[in-house]
Amino acid sequence: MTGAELPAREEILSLSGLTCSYGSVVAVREMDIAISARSVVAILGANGAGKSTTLKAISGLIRPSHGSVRFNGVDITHVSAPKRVKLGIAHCPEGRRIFVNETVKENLMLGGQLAPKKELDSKIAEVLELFPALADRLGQAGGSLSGGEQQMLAIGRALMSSPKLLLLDEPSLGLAPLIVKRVLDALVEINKAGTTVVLVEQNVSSALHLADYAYVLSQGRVGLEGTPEELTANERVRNLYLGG
Amino acid sequence: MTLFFQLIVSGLGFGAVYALGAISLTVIFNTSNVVNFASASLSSAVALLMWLALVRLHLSVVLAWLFALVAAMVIGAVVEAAFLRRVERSSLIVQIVMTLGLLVAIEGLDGALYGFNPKTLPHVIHGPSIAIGSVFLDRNDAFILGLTLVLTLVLYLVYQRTRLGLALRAVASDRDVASLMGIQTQRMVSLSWAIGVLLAGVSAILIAPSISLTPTFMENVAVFAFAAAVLGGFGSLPGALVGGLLIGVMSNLISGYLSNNLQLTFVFLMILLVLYIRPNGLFGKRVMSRQ
Amino acid sequence: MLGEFENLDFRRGSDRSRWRGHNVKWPKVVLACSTLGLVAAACGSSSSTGTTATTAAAATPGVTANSILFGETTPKSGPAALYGQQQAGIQAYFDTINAQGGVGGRKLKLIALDDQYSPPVALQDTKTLIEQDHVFAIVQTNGTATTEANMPIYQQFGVPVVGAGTGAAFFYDTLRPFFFNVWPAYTVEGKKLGEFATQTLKLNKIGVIYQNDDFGKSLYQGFQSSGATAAVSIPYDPTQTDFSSAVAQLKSAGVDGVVIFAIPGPAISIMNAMAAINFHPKLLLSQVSVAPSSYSAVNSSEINGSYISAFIPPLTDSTNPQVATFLSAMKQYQPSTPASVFAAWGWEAAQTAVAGLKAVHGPLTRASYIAALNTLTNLQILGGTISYSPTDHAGLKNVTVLENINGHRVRPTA
Ligand SMILES: Nc1ncnc2c1ncn2[C@@H]1O[C@H](COP(=O)(O)OP(=O)(O)O)[C@@H](O)[C@H]1O
Ligand SMILES: [Mg+2]
Repeated sequence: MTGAELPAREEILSLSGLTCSYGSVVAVREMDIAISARSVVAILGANGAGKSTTLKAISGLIRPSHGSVRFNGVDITHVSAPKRVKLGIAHCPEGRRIFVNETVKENLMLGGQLAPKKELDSKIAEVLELFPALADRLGQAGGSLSGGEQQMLAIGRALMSSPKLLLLDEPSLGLAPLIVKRVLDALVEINKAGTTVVLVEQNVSSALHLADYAYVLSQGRVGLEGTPEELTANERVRNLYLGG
Repeated sequence: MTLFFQLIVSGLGFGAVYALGAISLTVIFNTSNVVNFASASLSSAVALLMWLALVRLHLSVVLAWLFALVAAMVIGAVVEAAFLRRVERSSLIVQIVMTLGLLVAIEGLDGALYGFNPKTLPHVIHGPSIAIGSVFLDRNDAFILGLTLVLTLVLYLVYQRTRLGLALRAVASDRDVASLMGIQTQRMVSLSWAIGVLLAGVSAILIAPSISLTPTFMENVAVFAFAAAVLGGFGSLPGALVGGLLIGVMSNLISGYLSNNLQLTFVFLMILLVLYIRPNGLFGKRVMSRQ
Repeated sequence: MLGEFENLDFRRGSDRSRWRGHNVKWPKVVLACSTLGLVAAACGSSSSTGTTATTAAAATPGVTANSILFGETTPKSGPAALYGQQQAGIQAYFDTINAQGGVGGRKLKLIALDDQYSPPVALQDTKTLIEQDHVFAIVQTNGTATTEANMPIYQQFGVPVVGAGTGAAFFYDTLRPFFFNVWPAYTVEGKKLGEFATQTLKLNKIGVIYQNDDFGKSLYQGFQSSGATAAVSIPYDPTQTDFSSAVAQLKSAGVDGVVIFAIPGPAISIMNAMAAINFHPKLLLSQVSVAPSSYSAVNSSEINGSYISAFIPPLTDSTNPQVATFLSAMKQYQPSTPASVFAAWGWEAAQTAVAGLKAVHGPLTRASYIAALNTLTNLQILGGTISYSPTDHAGLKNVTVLENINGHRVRPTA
């Protein structure tokens, strides 16, 4: 998978010249992003800036019209979404999108669809360790969970494939502050275990708090990028996202 | 009283055929969200292939079945790949027109290939009807009923107990997210069309000996099967089974005690009534629409 | 051998709707409507030329010093294409007559068009035959709905029509001066079966199952006119496939005979449903109910020993001189078409049409031809004896009842 051309900087993902459109709407334009392995990268920006589209292009839910996606040094631009899961990319989509009619356990099993059957139990146990709240809900339909539990389930489901790269689309949206904290704490742990995390957030301050590096998108382009320190120092960012 | 029980027993044979048709519609609808109005012509096509294998190619019964079943699955997968995949993101009306177009086109094609003269298939099970007191149960009907029950149970277990079934259910409820789970969703859709046409084809092969085999002979049956699927709550396997049996029996009772001529009318009135009381059908939890 | 007595599967309008399906298929309806629309437009545009043609007709259309031109429309493609074999029967008879020098020194010619068993197409064909090809007369159309569709245009031009493949009441209840039936009326056939059931078989309690349209009702009406009564009578829709309830009702009523006035598909289903509940009454079938080609579709014990009405004699019986002539002419002039019952229909219509020509006195015009047809008495044709008069155009009146024994139709032993 890696081959001879493993980048010196240990770059796990790079987008170059990425352009994506929905019919005539161009959602992402000539975007260049590079993400180092084991880092936490935040992608910020206003509604409609192109954040979700960027994640969909990485996980393969949409095909870019131009540009390329490289993962671990391999061009995966034309690789299908399910095959990208196998390569180690997990995408926890916007709005959680858990399977509401299936049980919590079945949701987790689906996350581990590509894993050998005998590893499922231990993987589920790991998820339950991270999110103990799910433990006594295994037999319950996904749709019956609270918002916070559903988000935990969505992240847990994504972890079931033991990803190298975890894409999270607004995990804190609509959750109570206490729950948000719990979810974000879990992310730190996941990252510590070696998983690269790409976090799309509207909750800019907590995202910047977690991240090693961040991109700010506007109208489908990268408007600003830098370390959290650099961005926090930026006046425009402060005005726009951090309440002055 | 004999008449009453005879009507019920006789209704179960056709009811099982309606159930198989309804299950076929359900299996296809559940993964692809397409209501397969081409079912009648696809199932007739399978029965005609069975006839081709038995009568024209003189294959043995076992080989003929094998040929027909494999052909059914290939037809299902090919129809999906060649036609339905093109319109999978189109509006509901475009998909309906596509399946209706297929219905007409396949019937026309079969007409050109085989002609419209009634043909025959042998009964799977031979021998005199089974007497239960003064009521008689046709052996072929009994076989259809048994097979339908077994097939439904097997399908139900596959859906509920296996990873494949879980994947099929995931594709049914959210195709994009299913692909994020590593599921080859396109393959699941092809598979469900293959299984769907297989089931409809089996129902056509089984009922053909009791009626006459032509390119259009399943039309009437398909209408009842559609009604059965709606009654059961489009999307539920047990619902399709119960819906089919119920419609087989009810239409017999209606015909026996009210009017033979208005069978279809009363069946649909009954469905309207059920849907009025339970809009999602007897077993339905999902509303029959796209999210 | 059985193929020679192949029977009609797609005859009536209601039957058509079965094959074309009318339950769930609006695209076809749309297609049909658009076709109708086109035809309607065509009618509108050409009706004026039609009237001038009639008034300007100094010479008789289709008649020259040495030829007489006939037209026919039958299905030659589509589901009912087998009926197109009628053309071969007509042609074989015309060739036979032409070999003898024609009629009055005139050779008989035929223009045959394909109506696809579709009323709008049949109408278009008929307009072409009459207005463009200027045929003298029509010999044999096919089917109730198609012939009904053509009726206004025959009427408009006063074109003689000899033979239509239908026995529906529409063509018999009203006498049309230019229209001559060859087939026996369905009411005649129904009556014959009624008489056979009560007088010959002496059945005590009879059940009738009939198609709920002109065809089935005409037969049932004929049955009742024989004085027979049905203890149970069950109408069915032509698209019905499940007859288990209908036969359970007949069984529970305790009838000892069942009369089936059905087209082949439902007839097969009905007989199979009887076998399924172990119900074996005496069976009486209308001639269109069961095609010998579909005997094998029926549980053999059911069809064996059943009775069936018929007007074309068994075509295997070459001791019958009519049959022998037909078979040898078919062999000589139409070797590529089987000498089927369909060809026989065409043959006997041609026999009638030619007999009319031979009876004409003076110049041959449509009026003199119609007058001559009205004088035919005890004309022997393949299907029996025909007599016309100015008040009777009803065609054959002889229907016999045969018994189905081991796949053959034989004179009843009972
Ligand atoms: N399925 C879609 N069809 C058409 N336009 C879309 C679709 N999804 C997103 N867009 C448009 O693409 C742009 C970027 O959307 P998105 O990536 O969802 O933004 P963000 O996640 O940053 O809010 C927006 O203008 C949005 O309206
Ligand atoms: Mg978004």
